[in-house]
Amino acid sequence: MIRVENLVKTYDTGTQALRGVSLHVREGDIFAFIGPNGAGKTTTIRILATLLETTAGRATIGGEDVFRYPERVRKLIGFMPDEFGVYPGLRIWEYLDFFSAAYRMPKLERRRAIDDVMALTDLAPLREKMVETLSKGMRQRLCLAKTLVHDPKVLILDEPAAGLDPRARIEFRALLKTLSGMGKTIFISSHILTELREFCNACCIIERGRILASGDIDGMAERLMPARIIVVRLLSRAAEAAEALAVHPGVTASRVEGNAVRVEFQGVEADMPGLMKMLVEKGLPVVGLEEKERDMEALFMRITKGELA
Amino acid sequence: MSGAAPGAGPGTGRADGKGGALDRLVGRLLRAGVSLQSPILVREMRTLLRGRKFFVSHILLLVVLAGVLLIAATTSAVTGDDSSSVGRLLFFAFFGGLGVVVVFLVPAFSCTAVTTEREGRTLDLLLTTTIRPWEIVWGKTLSALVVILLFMASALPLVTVSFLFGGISPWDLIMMYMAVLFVTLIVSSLSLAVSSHCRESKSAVVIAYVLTLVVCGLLIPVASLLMDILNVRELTSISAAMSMRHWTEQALILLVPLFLSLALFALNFAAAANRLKPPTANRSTNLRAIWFGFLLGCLFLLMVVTDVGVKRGWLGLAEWYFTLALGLGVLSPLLWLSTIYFASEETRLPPRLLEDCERLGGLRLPLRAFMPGPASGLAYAAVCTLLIMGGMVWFCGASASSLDRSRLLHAGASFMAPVGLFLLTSAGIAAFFSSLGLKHRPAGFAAFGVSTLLAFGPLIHMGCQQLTNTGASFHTLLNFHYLCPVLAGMSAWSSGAGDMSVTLFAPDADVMPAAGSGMPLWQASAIAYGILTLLVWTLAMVRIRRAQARWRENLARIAAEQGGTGLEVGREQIAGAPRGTRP
Ligand SMILES: Nc1ncnc2c1ncn2[C@@H]1O[C@H](COP(=O)(O)OP(=O)(O)O)[C@@H](O)[C@H]1O
Ligand SMILES: [Mg+2]
Repeated sequence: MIRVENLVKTYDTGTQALRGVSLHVREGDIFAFIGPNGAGKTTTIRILATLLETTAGRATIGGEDVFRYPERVRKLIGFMPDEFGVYPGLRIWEYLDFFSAAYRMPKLERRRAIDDVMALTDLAPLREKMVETLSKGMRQRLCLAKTLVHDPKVLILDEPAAGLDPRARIEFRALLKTLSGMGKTIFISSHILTELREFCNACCIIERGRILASGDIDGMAERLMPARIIVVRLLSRAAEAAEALAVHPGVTASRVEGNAVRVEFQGVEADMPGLMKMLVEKGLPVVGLEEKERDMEALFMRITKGELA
Repeated sequence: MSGAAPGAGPGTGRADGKGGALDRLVGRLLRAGVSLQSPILVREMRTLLRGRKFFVSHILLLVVLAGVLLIAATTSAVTGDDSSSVGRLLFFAFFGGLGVVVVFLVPAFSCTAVTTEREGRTLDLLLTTTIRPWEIVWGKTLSALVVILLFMASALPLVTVSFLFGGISPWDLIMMYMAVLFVTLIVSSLSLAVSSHCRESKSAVVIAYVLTLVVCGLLIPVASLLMDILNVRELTSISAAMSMRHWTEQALILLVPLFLSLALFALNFAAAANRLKPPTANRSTNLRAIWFGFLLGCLFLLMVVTDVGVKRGWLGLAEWYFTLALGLGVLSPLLWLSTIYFASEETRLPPRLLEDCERLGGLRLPLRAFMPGPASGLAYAAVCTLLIMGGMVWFCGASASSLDRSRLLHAGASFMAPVGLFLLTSAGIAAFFSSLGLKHRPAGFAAFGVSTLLAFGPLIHMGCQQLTNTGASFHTLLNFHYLCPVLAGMSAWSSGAGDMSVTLFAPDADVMPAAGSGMPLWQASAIAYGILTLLVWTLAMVRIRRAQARWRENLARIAAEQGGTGLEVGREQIAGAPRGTRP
């Protein structure tokens, strides 16, 4: 649905914001575009939203060339910028009516579309409220409502959850899930990983204008963190266990953490009983052995080497 | 809503296969009518009418205007004028006040229209909808118009007071209201153009007010010229003064302001809308066309006005030459600079061209693809030349009842042939420099420098002088190069209008061939410029052809290396190449 090839962007100031970004979003994906602040997420997104010129490279959305046919692309996408304002002095329905008119919808269709998006975003009870009195979370929802008003196939959201309280964040996530269920392709950027991993099915990580990794979220964890983290819990003699584990085949690192040993293990699942057996044979008081879930946060820190995050 | 609300719905313009063209036209007109009802206007009116600020300022201005009228009425009552002149005084005081309101209120209203959206971060939201840039600008222009219309409507009772005294006809009122509306259009579109080019409201306010005052200041001579034509020395009823004039003058009095305001409006409008186009779109072609149309229209009107002036007797011959020289002195350097600017400007390749290129196998890019600026620059220059030369010769001939006709024709040709050819030469020089791969600005400056040298170095004329054996002085030589109208205008200012005809038509020797030589000076200089033009354009074309061949080779090499057609890469090179680099 979205295809980006070798996008390069150098701002007039000389900042190289993008140095060859390529990515591919399939239809129906919820695609997480992850990177620390200043990585070039907003730049990429503004280029995709036809608001910024690229220095080199190509981009298509739904098969339409973003640079050749910006008007066609604008029809396809719903864009929510990272920072946005509202027009003061309007009621919520008037605000949405303005945007649907700006999308050239006929009057009758407009009314229905507004009712639909207000129901979807739970804004219906606030129909007559003035937009400038809304809270941050409500504004975010209003902006999403305006993004949806022309029923776009692709949603491009730039850090939509930034600055929301946890409750609003959960609601927002649920809303995105609903939208994905409606068959929309969602391209969402964030500098926070945990909020995305549950419901995104593909992602890519960008840093300093380069794509560091991309693919399915699970596949990527497998590929980038081949080592499993195994925590062996003992009653005592943890140091002794750590030494024994360190020389075991497949173990790349072991570290004592109180009464437990944290092991990085390269083997597959079938190799784990062997590890257990070795410990028991040495007479160590093993209480349990548990595999840590591959944490996206750790993955992120690892990939970006903590340089900018 | 107070905006236009045409009742025409869709469906009226359904094409039924047969009556295609007309139906489509009707449908298009209907749709255009519907889009007059701009969403932007609706939104701005909602916001505006909800706030208290609008009503307060509105009423305040009305009170001030009423006060001005009261003072005018009392002073004229004291001096004991007759009733109808009191009426006219009140009438003009009212429109004076209204003019001031427009000139000061409209920029304040319009110049922040886009910057506040930029600052309030709503512009990106608006631009990513499918609304067209011109619709945005039109919507915002409409809101300014509606504000002024509301004000004029509510001020109507004030102006009707002047009718009680008499001396004014309803036609006067209609004409003045139209004039105010046109001024509103000019001022609001100018402010919008400033607004869409500025980042901050603060700078937009300053620039918009300065420009508004400059433009209004430039319009004052035009207005006073029209007043001169009408012979309005004191306050009179305009419609009465009009009815006493010849129809050609009446037409001019309507045509000149109409043309000026529409042209200025179109220029500002296009400038404002271009800035709101997608960054990859072509942002300059339409502006270029309008600008040249404006300059050419001004030239044409200048000739018509001066011609009618001579015929109807409100311009003496000296004044006629003075006006013409001054007008040309302003317009022709503008034309010259614009030609250089646009000829050296490089524009992005339009998408359609890329498609063509693909269809043709990618290897036959048209010449235009490499030199879009110079090619159209050449076309413009050619049109300018034809118009200037043809118009001048014709008008000189037509208006020369009292002067020696052939002498005027010679003068016109000697004056305009080098001018037109000089434009072509400048465009060619610019084309040459940008074909060297220079960027827009360096190419423009280089072309400017070289063609200035050409213009100021009357070497060509010296040569022509030798050729034709005319005993022209250096001072007369200056008359024959491109900047002649400027210099003539300047010397006109310094030496007084009486000497004017002398500068151009002085001794026969300057214009007419000296005894014994076959060729008049203007012909010689035209030939010299013609040869130069040919030379420069040939050079430029050779360079362009070479660049094209290199590009083709490049593609072939890429194709050989990568096994593809090379087209992909070529297209990317063009689409993605940073401004200023050429394939
Ligand atoms: N308008 C601009 N002019 C110059 N540099 C910019 C501009 N916008 C962003 N940048 C720079 O480009 C880089 C990428 O910025 P951005 O895309 O906003 O990052 P992100 O959204 O991932 O935080 C940053 O170094 C930033 O300073
Ligand atoms: Mg950002």
